[in-house]
Amino acid sequence: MNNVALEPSLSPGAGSVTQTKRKFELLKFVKRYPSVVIGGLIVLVMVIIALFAPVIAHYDPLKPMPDGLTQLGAPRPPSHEYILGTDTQGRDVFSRVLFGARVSLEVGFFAGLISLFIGALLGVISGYFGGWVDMVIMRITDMVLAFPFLLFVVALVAALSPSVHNVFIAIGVFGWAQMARIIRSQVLSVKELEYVQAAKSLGASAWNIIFVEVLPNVVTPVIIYLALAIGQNIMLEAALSFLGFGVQPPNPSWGNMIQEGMGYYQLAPWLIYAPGISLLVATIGFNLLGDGLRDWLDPKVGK
Amino acid sequence: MTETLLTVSNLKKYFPIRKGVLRRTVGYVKAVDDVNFTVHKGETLGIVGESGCGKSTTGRSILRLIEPTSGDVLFQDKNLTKLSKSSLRHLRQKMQIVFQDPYASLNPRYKVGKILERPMQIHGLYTPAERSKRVRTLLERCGLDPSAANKYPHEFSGGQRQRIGIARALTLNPSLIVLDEPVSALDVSVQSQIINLLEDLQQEFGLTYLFIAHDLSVVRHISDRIAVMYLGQMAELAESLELFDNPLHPYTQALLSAIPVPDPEVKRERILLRGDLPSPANPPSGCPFHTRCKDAMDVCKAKKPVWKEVKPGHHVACHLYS
Amino acid sequence: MASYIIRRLIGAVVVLFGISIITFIIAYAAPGDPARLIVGAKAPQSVVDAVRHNLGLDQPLPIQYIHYVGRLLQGNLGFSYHNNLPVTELLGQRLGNTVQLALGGWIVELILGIPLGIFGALYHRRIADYILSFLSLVGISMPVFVFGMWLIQNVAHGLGILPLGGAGGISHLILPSITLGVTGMAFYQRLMKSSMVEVMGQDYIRTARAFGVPPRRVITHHAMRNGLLPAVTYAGMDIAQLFGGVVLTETVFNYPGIGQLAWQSIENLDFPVIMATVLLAAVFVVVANFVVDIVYSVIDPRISLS
Repeated sequence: MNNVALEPSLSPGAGSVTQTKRKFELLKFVKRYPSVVIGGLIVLVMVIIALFAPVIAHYDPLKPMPDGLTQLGAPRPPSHEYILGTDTQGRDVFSRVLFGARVSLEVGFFAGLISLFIGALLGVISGYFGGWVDMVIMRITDMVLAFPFLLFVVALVAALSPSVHNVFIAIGVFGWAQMARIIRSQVLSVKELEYVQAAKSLGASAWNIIFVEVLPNVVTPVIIYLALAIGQNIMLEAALSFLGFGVQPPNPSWGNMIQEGMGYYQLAPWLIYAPGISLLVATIGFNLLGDGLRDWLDPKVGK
Repeated sequence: MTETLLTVSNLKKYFPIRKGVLRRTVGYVKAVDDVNFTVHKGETLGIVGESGCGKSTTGRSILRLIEPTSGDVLFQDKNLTKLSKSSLRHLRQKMQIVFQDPYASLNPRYKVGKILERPMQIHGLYTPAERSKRVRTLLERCGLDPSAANKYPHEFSGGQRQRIGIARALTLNPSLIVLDEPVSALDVSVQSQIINLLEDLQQEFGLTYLFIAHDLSVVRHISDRIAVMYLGQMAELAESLELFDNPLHPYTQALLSAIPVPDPEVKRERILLRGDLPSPANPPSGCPFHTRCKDAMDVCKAKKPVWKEVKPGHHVACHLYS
Repeated sequence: MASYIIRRLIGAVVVLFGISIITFIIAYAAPGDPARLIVGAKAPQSVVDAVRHNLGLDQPLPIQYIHYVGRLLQGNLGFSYHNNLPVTELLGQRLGNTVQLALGGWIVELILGIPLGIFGALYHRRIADYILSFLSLVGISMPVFVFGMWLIQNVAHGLGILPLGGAGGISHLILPSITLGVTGMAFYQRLMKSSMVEVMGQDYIRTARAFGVPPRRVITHHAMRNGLLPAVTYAGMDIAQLFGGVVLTETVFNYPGIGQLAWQSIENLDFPVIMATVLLAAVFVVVANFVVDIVYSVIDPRISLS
């Protein structure tokens, strides 16, 4: 009886204790892994921008504004009305940057997924089954790693005709090799563990073992690598669009905005800086997140 | 007449050594080299040897966790080495293994309940309710609280984990359990508890054990018969008492002399083994033991001794007895 | 040793074969009829067919590939109809420029990256290290073309001290080399730092310190050799990355090299040139990797060659 009577009066106190404890632990986490937090915030902001670009943007990114150019026909510098100025056709640069985030994330993410899928499949098969299958897959992987990556992606996009889809397909199709290697080495080490042998002795089939025992132990390095790969892919998409093989004008991408602004660097430097700094911050965000996740989740690898 | 459960004949496992441009096989590590023995139903056969002698490889090759190079393994009248993968998976219900390392043999990501239910799920045995009931019964039978099912492996000590490993081996009602050094990683005090548990379970469920250990004193107590292995080959096999009272092979004699005797009055001549264990990649010619044998003769270097039964139930491979 | 080298050589040849197949397939799958591109849009179909037949483009794909490899082995890289020049000649005009630029970028990467990494390791967990680490992060995340534009605007144009672009002499190489090398420099800084920090924590270094070996000597004589290993591994693999950077850098600085040629030929769908540049880049990568493997085995005796 006593216990029952005591319980209600105890629980609120206990609750607040755990709450302050949680707050304290969060602070400790921020202090210990600042890169996860900062990188994560940058990525989060970018995701929000990409999702809500149409809501945040005041102007149509594709339409030249009636007052978008000066009387001499030059782009307008940043002002209260156009936060990041206007471009050579009188379009709002800020709106274009927002919509550019969309393209960047889309390409970064889907290219990452494609290379994750191919890399995971090949890495698991290679690592788990070993033998000549492993040898063939690893030789192909070495080969892909020796490719002049950008040139291949550019050539493939050019051959497929430039579009957002083809950009992420091309990046994904050539970008899986590193992923396959990471997953293979992880599978190799997990495979030898006795609990995998135990599952085998219990009569589990190879794919059952792969899905139930092996893959859950591969998730951590995959997440870390995916964060880094998305950053890489964003940079690659920008490079492709910059070279004219990515997103085609008038659709905005940070890469093609920089390309368009290249001839006006004296007259209108914001045409380069607005997309350029966005691109830099985005890649910094993903790199920080990936590095931080590595320190946090994978203490063996992190230094 | 005792019934035979398992017959191992001419079992070999060679691991290739590759070298050169084409990765040609230039030699083999003969981890298991022509091993023959039988296991009777309901008995415990101990297999003893130094590390690297191929005893674990023997155990795992029998279960085809490692594919044997050649040889036959007859289990319940089926030749395991010739079985297709799917019928082998089916037959695995009847033969299980308990591993040495209680930390590595349980997947840290799953709760004990899930780990123990998994074998029954794989083979589609019982309903979910029956499975979880069975898990609790088995945990209790292995000396753990049934609530252990809701915990993760890392919440247990080494001995407790080994009990979980044993419970897992029992979930499918096997007739044969290969115990691959099940107590080597445990404290001495825990070792005897686990061995007692194994003996109780054997009685209760009519189990047959193949008990692998690197230490004669561990298997002495639990084994009906004991086999001694050296460099991938069988040196001697006999009933436990016979082996301890009347060891024939010089290697067995040396191993026995190394066991400490609790009586200080007893003076015993310690037979020291000369030299190191030779590499199994490059084993000595003739009898593999001749480089370290106190009784080595010229014939030992030239000819491999034959594995034969010198007394009823007592096999040995040594030129002294041929 | 010989068997190791032979195996690596066979591997290298296989990689080059694979790359030639993939470039060939990409070229084949590309839109546009090369024969039509050669004769122009207005030529009658019969002329197109004749040209196609002359070039062997009407034959099955595997036969075309075999012919292509046969020509490659004779040193014939094809003919650029767009430039009206043999591809070998086109490459020859520009190869020197690109080699200079690539070397410049590589030097920036290594000469600056490695010492900065050692510096970071020496000041590990101190202000200088944090600043350097932040700069490295920015460097690693910096898109080549953004940095190139920034240099053009602020250094070449703003300060007016270096040429805006083009080729000719050392002064034309400075900004492009820095642009090309900055990502790699940041990468080596990180790599070298983490590797040095790890090596410095090892027992043999502590032993050396305990014996009273001066700190500077501990680094130069004891830690560096092992700390350098990862950097050496990457120094070769890096060439592939560098070549991607070369394309972008040459485009930004309007620098007449292979990268710019590759870009222009992709824009013009000039496939003989595209295939040649890709193959050339691949040869660089494969050769560099090969050399690194050998160098690595010399530095680290533990790597067995047999």
